[in-house]
Order: sequence, then C-alpha cells, then structure tokens
Amino acid sequence: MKEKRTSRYLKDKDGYFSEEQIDRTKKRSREMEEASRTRLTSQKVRAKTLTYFDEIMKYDGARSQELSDFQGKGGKIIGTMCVMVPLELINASGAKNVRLCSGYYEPVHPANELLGDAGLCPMVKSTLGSKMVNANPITNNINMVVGPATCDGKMKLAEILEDWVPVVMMNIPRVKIGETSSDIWVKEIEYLSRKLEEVTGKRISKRALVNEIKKWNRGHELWSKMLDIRRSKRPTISGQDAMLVVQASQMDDIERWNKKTSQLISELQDMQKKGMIAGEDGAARILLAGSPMMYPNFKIPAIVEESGGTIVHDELCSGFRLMSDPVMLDGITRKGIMRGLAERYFFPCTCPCFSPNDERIRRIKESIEAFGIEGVVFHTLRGCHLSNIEATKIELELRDIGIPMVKLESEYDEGDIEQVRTRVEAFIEMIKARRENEGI
Amino acid sequence: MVDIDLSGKPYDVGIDVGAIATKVIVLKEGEIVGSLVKNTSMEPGKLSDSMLSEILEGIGVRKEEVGYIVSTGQGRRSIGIADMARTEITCFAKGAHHLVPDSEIVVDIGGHGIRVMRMGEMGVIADFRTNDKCSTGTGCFMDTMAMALEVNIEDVGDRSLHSKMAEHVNASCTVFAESEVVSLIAKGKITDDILAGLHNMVARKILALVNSTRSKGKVFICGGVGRNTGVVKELREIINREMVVPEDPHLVGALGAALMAPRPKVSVKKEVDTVQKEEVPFMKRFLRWST
Repeated sequence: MKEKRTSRYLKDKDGYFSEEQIDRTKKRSREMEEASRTRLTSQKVRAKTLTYFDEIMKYDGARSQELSDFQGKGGKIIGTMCVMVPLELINASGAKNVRLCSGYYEPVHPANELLGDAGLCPMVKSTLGSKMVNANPITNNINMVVGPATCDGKMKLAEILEDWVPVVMMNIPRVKIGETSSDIWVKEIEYLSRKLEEVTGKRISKRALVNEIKKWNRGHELWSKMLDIRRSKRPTISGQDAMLVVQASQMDDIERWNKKTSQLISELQDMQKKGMIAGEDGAARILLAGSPMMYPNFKIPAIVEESGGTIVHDELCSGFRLMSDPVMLDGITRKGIMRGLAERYFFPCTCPCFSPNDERIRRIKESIEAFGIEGVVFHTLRGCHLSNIEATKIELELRDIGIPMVKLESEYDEGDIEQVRTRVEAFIEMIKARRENEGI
Repeated sequence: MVDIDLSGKPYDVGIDVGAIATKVIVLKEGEIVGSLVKNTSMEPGKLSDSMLSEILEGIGVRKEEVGYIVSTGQGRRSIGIADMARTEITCFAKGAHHLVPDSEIVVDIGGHGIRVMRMGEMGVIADFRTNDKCSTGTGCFMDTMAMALEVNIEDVGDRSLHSKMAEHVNASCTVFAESEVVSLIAKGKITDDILAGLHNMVARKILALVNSTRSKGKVFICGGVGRNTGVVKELREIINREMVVPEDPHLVGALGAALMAPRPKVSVKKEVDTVQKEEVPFMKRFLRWST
C-alpha cells in the first residue's frame, strides 16, 4: 500500500475519458436516481420517516457531503463490495463503511469500453464504471476497498479497482463444508483487521469491537421487527421501501440508522392500527430472490408492485440478508469475538457462489411458509451465471411444494421494461387465478 | 374490471394486438361468430375499433349487444374500448384450454415472443417461460428470413416441404442467421432447402423451451408461426410428444381474451373434437369467418 502501484488495466487513466462523457454519466445517473425516487415517493401509502432514507440514498445528497467532511477531518472511508465484509470491524477501527455495488445504469458504458463485452454482470460493470469516471459522489473518495473474492466478476472487479484505490481481497472458501473453511475465514478476518489498522492507524480494541457488534445487533433486532410488519396480512411498507431502508444501513452510521428505523417501525405500526395497507388490497404475496438489486436499480420490484403484487419478503444480498443474522459472540476473548464475526458473515450467507448451497432452498422454503408467499420472482442479472444456474434447481424444488416461480433475466437498462412487465403481470394473473380455483 | 349489465348483450369481444398482426374475435356463448385479422398499425386503438365495427356489420350485430371487450397482446393497454386487459400468456392458455382441455403444454409462437405455458389444474397456468431478448423463431425472424430469400411469407412453409435435403443453419441470432442465409444463397443452394434448414433450427429452439418445462404431456401449438407448415412439420418430427395444431392457431389469443369476460358460467356445450395426431380440420368454426 505504501509503494505506488502501477496500473494493470488502464495505463492512461487520466484523460482517457472526455469531459463530455464524465458529465453525461453524472447527469444520467442523477436523472435515473431522481426517477427512482419519484417512483418511490409517489406510492399512495408511504410512511413519512422514509424521506430520511431517501436522503441517505440520494445521488449527491447530504450523506455524500457528510462523508467528504468526515474525510476532510482525517477520517477514513472503506468501500465494501459484498455482504460478507464484517462492518463491525470497519466501524471499530474508527472508519466508516459504504457499499460500493452500484445500481446506476449509465456507468456501465465506460466499463464496457475498458473490458469489451466480457459477459460480466451489469452490477460489476457499473461499479467499475462509477470508479473510472468518478460518477458517484458517495463512493468517489474511498480510502480502501474490501473485496471478498466471491463470484468471478466481483473477484476481478476488486483486482481492476486496484488501479485506482488500495484493495484488500478476502479469500472466501467457496466450498462450504468442514472445519477448514471456517478456519480460513477466521484468518481472513484477522488479516482484514490488520489491514484496517494499517489504514486508520488505530488499533481495533476489544471494547470498541464489542461496542460496534452491539450496535449492529440492535440493527438486526429492528430489522426483524420490520419483517414482522411485512409478514402481517396487511403490510404497511412496500418491498421497494423495505429494500431502500435496509440498503441505507450500508451507507449510514449504524447508530443513527437504528434510531430512524425504530422511529419508522413505530410509524408503520401506527399505520397498521389505522388499517392502512401498502399496495393494493388482495395483492399477490411475492418473494423476491436471485441476483442483487442495488438502489436505484429497482426496476424489477417496481414492476412487481405496480402489477398487483406486494413483495413481502426477499432472499437477496441487497435486501433481507444484510440484516438477518446478528453476531453471536463465542466467548469474550478476542479470538472468540473474531470467531463469532466469522461465523455470522460466512454460514448464513447463501450466495450462489457457495457449494453446497442447500441452505438457500431451506431458507426460501421457510420464508414461503412464514410469510404466506404465493409466488417467487427470481431475478438474475445477465451475466450472473451462478444465480442463473441455481434458478433451475430452485424452480424444481418449489414445484414440488406447489409454489410457482418466474425467472426474469434483465440488464441495466430500461429497454426490456415492457417485456418484463408482461411476464410479471401474467405471473400475478396466474396467482390470482389459482386463488379463485382454490376458493380462497 | 368494469361491471356491465349483461341483459341483451350476449356477445363478447377479444382483441389481440400482437407485434405483427391484430386479431379480433366476436364470441357468443363460447361460439365464435366472427373474426378478423389485420396487420398491426401504429394506432392499434383506432385499428381495432374499425375492425370490430367491420365484423359486427358483417354479422349484423349492433354495438350495444356487445357485453365485454377484453384486450390482450403487446398493445393491450392502448385499446381504449377495452373493458379489461389481460396478458397474452394468460389469454393463450385460456384459449388453448378451451379448445383442447387436456393439453399440458401450450406453446405460443408469436411475432416477437415465444411463450411456453405449463398448464396446471382447471386450465390455470402452473408456470411459464418465454424467450428472452432473443427473437429467434418468432414471426419477425421468419419475416426477415423470407425477405432475405425473397419468398412471400405465406409460402415459406409449403415451399420448405418440397425440400429433399435441408441445409444446416447454425446461427440462432436473427442478424447472424440472415448473413448465414445470404452466404448459402451465394453458394447457390436451393431456397427450399435453406427454408427447411431454418425451420429445423426454429423447431429445435422451440423444443428447447418446451423441454425446459420438464413435462411430457400433450403440446398445443398456437400463435402466428403455428401457421407455418414447415415449422410444424419439423417440430412434429422432433418433439416426441403428442402435438396439436388448431386450424387457425393465430386466433387462440383473441379467443382466450374473449373467454376472459367475467360472465356467469353457463353450461358450455361439450364440443371438444377428438384430437388426433394428424392435422384435422379442427377449428372449423374459425374457418368460416376468418378470411
């Protein structure tokens, strides 16, 4: 990190892109985020507290200003590329975390120019493109990137990003069995903690770590309350909004997020008492699964909820999985804490990059039961081979228990909106017809 | 959904605004009394309006006697006169189930899309899959190929039946397939053989989608490409399941749409013909009106 690295991928990165392209990328990103936000705010029933989360996720909003002020005072910002990065560790070192995975459409193009059409998923390309042209203020000035080597795209993305910013790659044992995998992962987390200490120049104390774990565990507790609201017959928050809230946790300070979320939950409970409902009455209860959808790429959930469905639960690393499993401390020694962290960030993760990954199906089936799911919308980003492969397995498993699934493959552009909409509408018509048949 | 007073309104209308053709059907108590097919224009609302008037005039029915108008197809939302809109996936399945209740897989090969529906109990779809962004095997693919070969699209099917030895067409992308066809023409290959090769490729593509349902039951083919005798012949050879093609496969969607009208159930006459593997004149009542 001390010596200056030479670029591997883009030797002449200064001045490679024209001013016009950089401006265009920024402008279109801003427009896209505005459109997504308008779609969210124009929902008929929407809690007022949600405007806070809108602001956090806003393009060039108050949060990016706050972060750059923090950095100006010597604070460090660590970019995370995956749900498997222990955020407690980052916070305990005094740094702030931001999730880098980008949902903006326009930055895909600069990345395409560098890589050609490498068959990579648009999320990887967009994240890379954002960095290449500095298109996203919130992720521009990061001091370090933590990139777990999960899928091929993410792994190589981390490598390419090293041209711009120091990267810590974490070796994820992708075969999820036996003692060895968890041993490797504990060591990787210890390695990360050393790297963080190097960047921030601050030792990660046991006390600070336990403190952060407590804060994040509080977040998990709140999120499970949120799931209760979504589980009820009349959820007062739409799936899109819930996803926005949980994604904001990756950008915000966790303490403030906890405060706002508990405020939101009491507002949602009040709304429930008043008999309000998000989305239409008698909407089809949908579970969203598959590849991640980062804000503002809320194309699929928006279509689902506009077509007469309500997303009551999801199985996404950009949704429910961010906040689903608190850290269980394995003793109060430093070693025990590290092991607890490692376990929380490894075993509950049902990313399709793992094998065996039967845990995923088990979780989906469980939530179908618990949330009264009537159909599963499985979304794969084009180029997300792992999700694509698992879709087949999941569809057949679900067929056995009589739950229909529709697989939607989509990219980062608006071109296929109408095709996707037709499929989703047909899917929801089908669910409602099934209901009539069963006489519900 | 609009509630309509149905007294004195025995007719229902289904409008299927496809990517290439617009189909309008008039139904009375489950029987087709009139239908019309025209190329989809830039103003599908106006077009279907005038088509409906034309049919009604032809069969001497007043507009006031029409109960429900249901639109489907890609342009379903631009039909102002429609009381409700349903997706083509639902409507084709509905129409197919009406015609052949025991069909397990419904394949709709339309202008821009291929949809394969696996039927569950009581004519409700169990699941479905569609082509993604790729247009291979659809009507517009065949249009492009016919244009490259300078053959009238109506004759494509029959001409390929004359082929003695089909050429191999490997590319499945419309653009690449076209250039492959052009190079075959340049090599002096016979048009009929190239067509047969194309139909074989299309049939394999459809088969792949059908197989992905993992169902071995009876297959019902509908949609405009179902009229292409070449594709149907190739498909029949490789599909390894019982396969039914109605006389007018392109009208099934509009029929399904008209059947979506929420009428109180009257006992429909059991008019299901026994279906054989060979193509028998099956939807005779279609034939009468669809010219």
